[in-house]
This record gives sequence, structure tokens and C-alpha cells, in this order.
Amino acid sequence: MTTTFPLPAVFATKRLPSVGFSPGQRSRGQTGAALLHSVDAPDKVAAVADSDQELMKRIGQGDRSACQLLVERHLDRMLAFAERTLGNRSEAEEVAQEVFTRVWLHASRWKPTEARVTTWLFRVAMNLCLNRIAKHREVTLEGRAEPTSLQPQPGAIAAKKELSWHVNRALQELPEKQRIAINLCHYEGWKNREAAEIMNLSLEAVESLLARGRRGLKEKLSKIGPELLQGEA
Amino acid sequence: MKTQLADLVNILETSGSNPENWPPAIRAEMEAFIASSAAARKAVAEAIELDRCLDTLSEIKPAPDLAARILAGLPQRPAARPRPLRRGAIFAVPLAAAAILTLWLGQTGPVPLTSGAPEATASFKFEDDTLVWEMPSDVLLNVASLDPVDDVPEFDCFYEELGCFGSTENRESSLMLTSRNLT
Repeated sequence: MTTTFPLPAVFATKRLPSVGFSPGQRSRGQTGAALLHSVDAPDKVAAVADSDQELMKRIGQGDRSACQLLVERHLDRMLAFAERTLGNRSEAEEVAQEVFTRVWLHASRWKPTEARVTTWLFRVAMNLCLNRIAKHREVTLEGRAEPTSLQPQPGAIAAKKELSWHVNRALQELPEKQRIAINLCHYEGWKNREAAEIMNLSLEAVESLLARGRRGLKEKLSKIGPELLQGEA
Repeated sequence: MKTQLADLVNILETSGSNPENWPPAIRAEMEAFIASSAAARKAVAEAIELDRCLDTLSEIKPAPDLAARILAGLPQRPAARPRPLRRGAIFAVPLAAAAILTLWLGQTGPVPLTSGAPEATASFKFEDDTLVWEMPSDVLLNVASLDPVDDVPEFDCFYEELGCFGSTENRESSLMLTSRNLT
């Protein structure tokens, strides 16, 4: 059952939990009011979690329709995570493709007791992103292509998009592990300990990445004109 | 108070501005501290501002055909291979085979190797007061039905004076043929 409340416009752009989220998985940026928006009942979430496992079992037996269901259920999150980590849409699409290809090829070896399906999917996506970042490391940040979907646009109407562009740029300038930690915890709504599991790090290490990442973002964004920030408020 | 402020800043940096994400054990304490401290409220306001900036990022939606492209691009799965024997089976299968063989041998007794054949043993024998050492392979030569002279294959013989062997019948017909040719 989904409960929906009208929210102020400031929350309208927030990405909200979709099917497959656990009750604890929602953005850190949401306030208590925003948290009331689209909250899945625990019994539904449990059923969804079970069906992820069931889907993996069926995929392992070669069932393409089960794979289609899993793709439809998790593609949004895989793509968003990869795009925010890599800052590039086409590469993010390739990562999403690769994630589901691995699901298809390796689902028969899936052991339900090891981890949740979503945790595993994010871990695969993260590793694929880190591989790509390592390959592109020699490319300087200045020479890197700007995110196509967030190019700064002239005009007052584009003020929000401009702020968004600066935020995205600041995020892309963070070291990749700090970026991934913020991506997982802020945007994808994982708890710190769950992010630690995905990143195969200790809780302390992830919290250190989060703290350094947020400090870095604050410093970078403080250079943006206050009129841009206040215009958004 | 400095310690509390440092703790609050640490929580804001690791868990964001939403108190619901803070550790439950210290949430009430921190909320009381925020209510009583201007510095704490300033720290919270900065954290809220940062979260608000982060939330301005556009929602990322996949292209309408991306799911279909992903599904179309799935490779052919390799054919399922039979599972390799587990470690236990590696030992269990030969042991079971050996046990079955042992039981079978126990029921049937030893298989006679010379069944139906003459006794093939090496031994000394007296033949006409002569001691003879007889080897198992000699038995094979003592086939009673074989006469090395009588069983020589017949050859046709045209000229008896040359001393060739041959049956009487053949010899007669050969002679007749020879005499006809000569006349």
C-alpha cells in the first residue's frame, strides 16, 4: 500500500523510493514530511524482496521473462547510480547493460543466503563503474566530457538547472569512492552499514568517505554565487 | 558543549541533515542540544543547505527503449554442463564398485582359468624310462587329430616321375591328360 501526501515544490524533484526499496532506504535529503511521500508498506517490501530472490532462481533456469521483470524493476536505479558515478549517460547505459548481462549469465550460481539481490546488483554496478574510472584516469578532469544532460543553460528559467549543473560537477570532482558513498547513501537511500556492505568496507571507512565527501562538496559549492543558491531556496 | 558540537557535526557529515537517519541512541540528545545552541543550529542549517543542493540534481530516467535493448543484447547462455563429481563421490564411487566386485566374487568362487582345456602344468614325466620335462605350451601341440603327414595339402602332379605327392584320383586324371596331350 502506498501513502501519498501533497508536498511543497522543493521536494518535487526528489527521487523517491521505487519498487524494491526497503523501508529504511530513502534519501538522506528528505525531511520528515518528504518521508511520508510514497512509503511502501513493510509486507509489500518483504514480498518484493522475496520475489527478487524468486526471479533470480528463475533466471538461473534460463527464464527470459524473469530477467525482463528484474530489468524493469531495477534498471532505473542502476542507470541513475552509474550516471551519477560516471557523469556520462552512454557509459551509464553500458554499465546497466553489463550488470544485467552478468545477472543473466551468473544467476544460476546465485545463493540467496549471501546477500540481497539489490545489494549484489549495486556491488556489480559499482565495480563496473570503478573499472571504467580507472581506465579513464589518465584523462584530465578538464578534458573530460561534461554531462550531456546537465549542461548549463542561459536564462533565468535555467537557474535551477545551472545550480544542478554545478552540483553535478562538484560531485564528479570528488574522489570516486567519496562520490560512490554519497551516491549510495544520499541518492539511493542506502543506510551507512548497507553502503559499507556494497562497497566491501567497514562502517567506519564508509562514514569517513561520507564526511570527507560532504566537506568537499560544501567547499566546492561555497564558491558558487550566493544568488544562485538563494534563488533555489 | 564543544564535544557535543563536534559530535553533531560528525553526525551531520556522516548521516545528513535528516534526524531520521541519525543513530537512534543519540537523536534525542542531539535534538535537545540543537534547541539550546545557536552554533548547533547553524551547523544543521548548513547541512540542510548542502542536502538541498544535492537534491537539485535532475531525476535520471532511462530511455524508453533501454530495457528492450538490454534484453535484446543478452547473450546466449552456455549449455548447462553436468555437475562435476563432488569430493565425496570421487571416493565413494570406486569404493562402491570395489565392494560390489568383492561380493560377487565371494558368491561365485574363483573363475577356473583352464576350464574345458587340457591341464596345463609344467612337470616331469617318465616316458619309456626317459624323464621328460613337459611345459604347458606342449599341450597345445598334442592335438590328436592332426597328422603332419596325412594332412599335407594335395598338389596336382602332372609328372609322377618327378616324385610329387598327390591323390590317386588326381594322379590318374593327370596322367590321362598328359597322355592325351602327348598323342
